[in-house]
Amino acid sequence: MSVMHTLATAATGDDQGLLRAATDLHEALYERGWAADGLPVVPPTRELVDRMLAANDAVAQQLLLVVPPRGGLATMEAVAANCVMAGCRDEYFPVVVSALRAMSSPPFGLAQVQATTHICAPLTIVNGPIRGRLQMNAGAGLFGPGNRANAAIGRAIRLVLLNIGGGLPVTGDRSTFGHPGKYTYCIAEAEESSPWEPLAASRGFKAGEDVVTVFACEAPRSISDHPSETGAGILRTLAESMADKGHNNAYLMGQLAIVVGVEHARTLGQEGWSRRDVQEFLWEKARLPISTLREGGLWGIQVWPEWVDRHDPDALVPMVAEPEDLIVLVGGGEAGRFSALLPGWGSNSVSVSTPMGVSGELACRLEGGGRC
Amino acid sequence: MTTPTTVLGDSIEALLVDPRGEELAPTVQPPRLERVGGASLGLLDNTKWNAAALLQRIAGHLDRDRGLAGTELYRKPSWGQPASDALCQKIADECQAVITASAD
Repeated sequence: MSVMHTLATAATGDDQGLLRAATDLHEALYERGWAADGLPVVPPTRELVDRMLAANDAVAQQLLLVVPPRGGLATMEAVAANCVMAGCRDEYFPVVVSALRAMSSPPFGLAQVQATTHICAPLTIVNGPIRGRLQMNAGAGLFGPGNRANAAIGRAIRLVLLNIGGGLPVTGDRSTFGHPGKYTYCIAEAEESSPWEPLAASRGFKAGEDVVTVFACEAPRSISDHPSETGAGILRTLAESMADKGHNNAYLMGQLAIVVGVEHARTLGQEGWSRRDVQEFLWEKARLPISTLREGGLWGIQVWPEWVDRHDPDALVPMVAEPEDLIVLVGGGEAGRFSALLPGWGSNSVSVSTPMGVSGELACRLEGGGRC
Repeated sequence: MTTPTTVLGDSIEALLVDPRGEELAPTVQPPRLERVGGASLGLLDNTKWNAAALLQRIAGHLDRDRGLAGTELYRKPSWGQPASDALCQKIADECQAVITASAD
């Protein structure tokens, strides 16, 4: 007999009572502040949490990370509780754990990502066969609703950042606008539609390996290029869209992601463009002159390579320091000549990839004051 | 309509896992200055546009009102990165107190 039913029959002894108790339980969870993203949650019952831990051979009191700014201890048990609340199936747990482990890597700068006034939110990108096992969406509606794994994994990560990390608006998260991806922000790469090796393979992992990548970035901006029949034409449109002094990359560099739409990727692949070719082309073409950059934006704080002559008004500045700072992957539906740009936060946060797994080298145990 | 606490009672505590986790013990604050007058004061600029201006304005007020032994301006590598251990040690060696600020 489920906990819900036990609660209801204990309270009322009838089926009408069951429904009323379920509703009341949702309200009780709101009152406790556990439904921290503002949406209803699945009650994190001991039964469901223990089942998720057992299914993944996870040790309840093992510390995964300390989540800023609150300094909350994300034990496996606490993470599992948030996974249950988000609607995760047991098998989603390793993806959530891996994403959080990647975020705990110092270059990701989780404390700053959590607290900044900027609009960025951590995006989770999944590569490898696990995408199929979890029936994740890499295709149409990539960033939208409709897929349980994408939605629940991204939401579980956010609930951890809210509940354990205290990343609540105003008190722990000073973001001026917030971000729709702060409800959920998780995608899979459309590896089967890509002319290139998987994103994870381009970052040093084996093809076919399950890998999670996290990247703090803005919401996706759709870039249309319908008439271009050549890869260069598509890339010129992308480059002109990237060259924009309103995003942080123009001044702080860091990284910027491009999700190449399937139709665009097909054209590029047919012409033999490699991922590196695409990165180099966009890095060369997506530039703005100093004369434009010094009128607004983040002028006054430039994290540019030494070779940029900041006193020359005609000097052209790339949007990132090196071509490899452009994160190029493939995704989205089969129909539509679109790609998507996701500007980053700048040099303060670097994307991190980690192999999928509940245990990992960044994990640590609750010893020595709980610090990793 | 019955309130949640009335229906569910305290039994909910034993049946649910708290998703917030425990909190690290708060960082111990260093001892406070007994008096600002006569102290050497560090100013830690976080690199935002007006942080140094704000810090120097504060230091000016403190010097005028209380009389400082001196001020020293330090700078983080960027607003998004913490001050290094070496920089913190340098400030500790050279100053009796430090103020930091963020100002866009």
